[in-house]
Amino acid sequence: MKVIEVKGISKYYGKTKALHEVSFEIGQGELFGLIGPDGSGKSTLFRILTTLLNADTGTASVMGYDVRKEYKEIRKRIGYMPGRFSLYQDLTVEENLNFFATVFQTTVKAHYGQIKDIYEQIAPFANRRAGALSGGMKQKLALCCALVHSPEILFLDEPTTGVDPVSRKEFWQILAKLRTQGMTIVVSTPFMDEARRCNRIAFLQEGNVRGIDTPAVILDRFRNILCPPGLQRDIDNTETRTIIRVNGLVKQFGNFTAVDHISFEVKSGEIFGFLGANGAGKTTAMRILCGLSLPTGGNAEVMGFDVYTQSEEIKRRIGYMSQKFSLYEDLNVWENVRLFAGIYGVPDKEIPPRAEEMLHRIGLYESRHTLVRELPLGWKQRLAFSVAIFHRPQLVFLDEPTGGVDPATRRQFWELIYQAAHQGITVFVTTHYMDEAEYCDRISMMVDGRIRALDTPAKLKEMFNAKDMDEVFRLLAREAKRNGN
Amino acid sequence: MTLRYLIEKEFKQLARNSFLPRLILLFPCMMMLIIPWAATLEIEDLRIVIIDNDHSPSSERLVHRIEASPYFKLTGLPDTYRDGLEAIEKDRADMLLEIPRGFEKEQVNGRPASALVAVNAVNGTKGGLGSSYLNQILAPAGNTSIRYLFNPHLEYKNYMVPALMTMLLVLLCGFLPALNVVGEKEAGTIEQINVTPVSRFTFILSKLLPYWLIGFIVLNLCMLLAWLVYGLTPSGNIFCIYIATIVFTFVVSGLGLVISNYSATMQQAMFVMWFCMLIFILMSGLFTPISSMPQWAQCITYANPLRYFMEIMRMVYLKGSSLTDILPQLGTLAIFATVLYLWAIVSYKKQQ
Amino acid sequence: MKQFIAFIRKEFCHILRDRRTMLILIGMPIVQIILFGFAISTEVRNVETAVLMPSSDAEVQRIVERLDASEYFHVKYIVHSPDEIDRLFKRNRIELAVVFPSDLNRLRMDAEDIQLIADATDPNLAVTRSTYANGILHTALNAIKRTGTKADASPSLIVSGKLLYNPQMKSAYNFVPGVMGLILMLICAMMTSISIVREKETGTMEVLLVSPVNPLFVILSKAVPYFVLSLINLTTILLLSVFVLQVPIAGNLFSLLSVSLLFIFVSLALGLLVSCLVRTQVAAMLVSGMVMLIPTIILSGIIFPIESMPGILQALSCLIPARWYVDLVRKLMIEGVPLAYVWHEVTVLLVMAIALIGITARKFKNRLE
Repeated sequence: MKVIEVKGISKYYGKTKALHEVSFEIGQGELFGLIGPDGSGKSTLFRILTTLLNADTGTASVMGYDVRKEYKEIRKRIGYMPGRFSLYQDLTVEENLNFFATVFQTTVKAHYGQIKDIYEQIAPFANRRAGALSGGMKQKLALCCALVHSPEILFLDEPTTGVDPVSRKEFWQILAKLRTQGMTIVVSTPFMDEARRCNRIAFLQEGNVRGIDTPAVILDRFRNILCPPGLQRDIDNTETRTIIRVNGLVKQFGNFTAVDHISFEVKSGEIFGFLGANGAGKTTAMRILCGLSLPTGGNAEVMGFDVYTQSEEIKRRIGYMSQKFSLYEDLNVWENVRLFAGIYGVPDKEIPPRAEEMLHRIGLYESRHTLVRELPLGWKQRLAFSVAIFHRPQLVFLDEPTGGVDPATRRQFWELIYQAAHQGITVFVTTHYMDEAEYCDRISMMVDGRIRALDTPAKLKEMFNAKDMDEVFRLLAREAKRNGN
Repeated sequence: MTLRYLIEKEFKQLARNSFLPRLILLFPCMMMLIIPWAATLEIEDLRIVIIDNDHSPSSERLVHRIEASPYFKLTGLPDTYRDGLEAIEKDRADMLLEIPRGFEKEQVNGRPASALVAVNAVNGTKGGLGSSYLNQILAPAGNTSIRYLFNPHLEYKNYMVPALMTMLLVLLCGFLPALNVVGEKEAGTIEQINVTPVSRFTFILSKLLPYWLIGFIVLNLCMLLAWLVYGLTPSGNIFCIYIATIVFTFVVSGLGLVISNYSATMQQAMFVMWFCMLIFILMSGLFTPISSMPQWAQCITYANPLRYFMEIMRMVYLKGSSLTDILPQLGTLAIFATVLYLWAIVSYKKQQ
Repeated sequence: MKQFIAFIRKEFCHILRDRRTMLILIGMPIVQIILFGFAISTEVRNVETAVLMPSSDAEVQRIVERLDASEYFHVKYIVHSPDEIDRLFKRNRIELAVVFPSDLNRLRMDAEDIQLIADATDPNLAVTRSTYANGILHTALNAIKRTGTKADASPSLIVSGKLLYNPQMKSAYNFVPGVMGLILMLICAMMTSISIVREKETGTMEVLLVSPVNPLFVILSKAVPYFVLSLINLTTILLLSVFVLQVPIAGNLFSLLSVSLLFIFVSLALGLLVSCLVRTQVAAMLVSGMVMLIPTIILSGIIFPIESMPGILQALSCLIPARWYVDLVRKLMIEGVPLAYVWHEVTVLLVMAIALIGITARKFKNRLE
């Protein structure tokens, strides 16, 4: 039985084509995946199916109801989690959950079994306002809110972006359980391991459906884009100068210890991966090293400068790219480069030739007069990274730089990181993609504000007797106490 | 010079905004063209009903005299006082005059006749001025000669226009910076700036300078309109106005930035600013004279930067005061500017 | 129903958690009432005066003392040359100057020989101030004359005045209705529209639209807390004006309240309409600020009388709900006229309410876009 039928749907935003003649069918009880690069029209498709947008041409029906005319019937029967699921920042975790449960005419209790695994991780923060949660925690809460009711069809638009691997796995276990109960699920994802868990996937590119089939077939047919080969790094790092030295660093928020006596060293020229579950304290530690936040105790030196007293000296010598994309959206590419070059004191005369060279290298020269707002996410990330190292710092901090983009784009991004590392820039990076973790020279694993393991990926795998980093991560994150009760 | 790049950025963002440049140009025009006409406390055409109980030639003469006056409009001649009162209640008249029976006889006998005037005094200004105008018609007395200085034709617009300019400067140069830093907070770009070596001093200055220029543009636009539409030009030196404006825009945009630094959301910044502006405008002497306020309220006005600028504007525009005349006010404003600018720097935190 | 209550509870959380905004919303009417009631007035009081006295003879001295003794004038400077007067005016030190001729005595103490110079930057005040000064000088001169010669002929007409509704000429009578109109408009229209648009901006509206809840419910639940808040403010204003400003409620409290409810309704509808039309919070703020609040302040007769405006603006003011409401409150609360006398204004507000709700319902979108 077909529950979703889409025939020849097209949608334009002004002149830009978002969807072009899209047709497919989804059967009852299917777990259907949508994959494709940023800007391929996935979110638009979700919005059309959830009756939030009207398509320009074509017809679509959900459970036999027309999306245009019988939207009320559809809305009674479906659940939806938008890509940018926004919680009420000024309500507490519990209040958010209760509110959404009531809105969907159910109670948290009735479906607690469904969300138990994920909710238990955020339960310790039940009385904290959603706005004060870390990025990944917010996403987990949003997942709980989306799963709290049992609709007949569930639409999930990139639900796991920014979520750590363990929680992602738990989330997909829940989806699998729901499917056995007969629920139809449509989900989009940038993670290929997640795509593999679907019954069928559709690959979208620039508004066109390029193929619909089982994951194995699609991933094989488009493996250049979806499963690019790994990167090879020839380590010629002979230098052993220490660039970051952290000793017993502590950061407390009230009586909550976000960073609990961590100590480590980063050598010059290294790509240092900083891993951990959501809320393990990665971002907090990184913000201290960048001079954005003052530690509560312990000491840390970056390039020989003390984070307590010489944060401005540090700032002069580092690059930083944050989780939240933070170039000026209302300036164009060229202006952003110029602004940050100017701020870091790159000499006037050097800016134009260097900027030109850089833009050519990352393939943005043609779009140099485009407003940053209009660039696809992957391009923005590449630009943000290039801007962060434009003033040739010795050290660059990257906080989840590749969230929400497809594997090919992420690979391109890592090529840039390798280039930078090759020039001798030390890279300090946090990520939730375990394939990216393999690209790092050394990795530290944070659990509950402490560093549990620190070594090269190969040694870590050996130590934990695991076949890949994903497994290492799961083994370590399982020890987490802070989230568990 | 990082400052140059930051300012360049502010201007580009401003120019790219689809709304703000239009707001900066159109809003002053609208206000300058409409408000002086609307915001007038000139009292004319007061609606009056007259109850003539005497029906004599002299009472009729009196009625005609009132009818002929530019201040009054005769809207009815009811028969009884009760009818007249009803006219006021139903809002067909603002005041009534009752001429008693035997009005002429008393006058002929050389005795003073009496008449009753009743005014709807809900609007105090209207009531007060109305009854004093009527008094002048009914009982003209020998007057001292009065010279109205600086505004001989008693044009209310001359009074409003400089005040309006002040208000526009406050609204545009106060609200826009108040929304600016919070806007960057909400967009997340402030974090990117915070990890750069830009000093707080430079950053705040780069936020202030564009509004300084905007203030200047707005001022010139207003002065041009004042001249074209109302024929009003400053009687003092135009450079006094310029200097005062430079200092004053620093004060208001500094205030805006301070509020912005303390606010988490745009909405909050907007409301706090709105609240401050309300008090500042009401306590500045813009609509009502400061000397009429009780002593405690007058003390408060000393802490109101608007008060000083308002004085300067009226002094230079209408009275033709010179730089030395406005020096005390200008000095106070300069102190305000410095304090607020320093406060803005201190309250902007690069590190938590 | 359960959902509706959940929505309302959530809205109250939003309001109560943003302490600063809530304090301002509750505090704004109080501060306004206090400022208008106690600080701001156009009364003539303590007018800073300079006197030009070429010769210091005793009689002139007496007149000046008389002037200074009155609560209206405060003689701050006694100067001896016209230049000084000019300078004092230009330095904003004085608001009025009295110029005595050098030989007042010889000129038989005629009022015409004394010159009053008023700072007419504020024309109305200049007129009132000089009228007051004129009166005082007159009595003073007459008193001096009476001691010398016989009394003047008495005036031909004695006018007895009566100030209806506001015998003490309190400005509170005029502004209390204005403050009520302004505050209710601010809270109902501006706050409601911003809070709805915020949900659009943060994306939560998307989820709510897809939920089985009727979208109109969502919107209506937004209006309820602001409705409550405006009732609180209404009560505060009325209590403050009765007990602190001593402005009595002359009319029927019930009809006053029902009219206020009608106006709150109109403002809420206006807020909902704005929220349907704009996309971002900033736009909502600017639209409600520039398009609704400023015209309300200027054109509704709160500060400036509508009769003095040119015809076009008077016509324009008819479109502003606050104008009718302020009028109604003035009549019902202060003049105490019965409701039957004001059916005209009530009808206008009713028509506005129905029209606005009609337009909002038509403009309301069930989808994004």
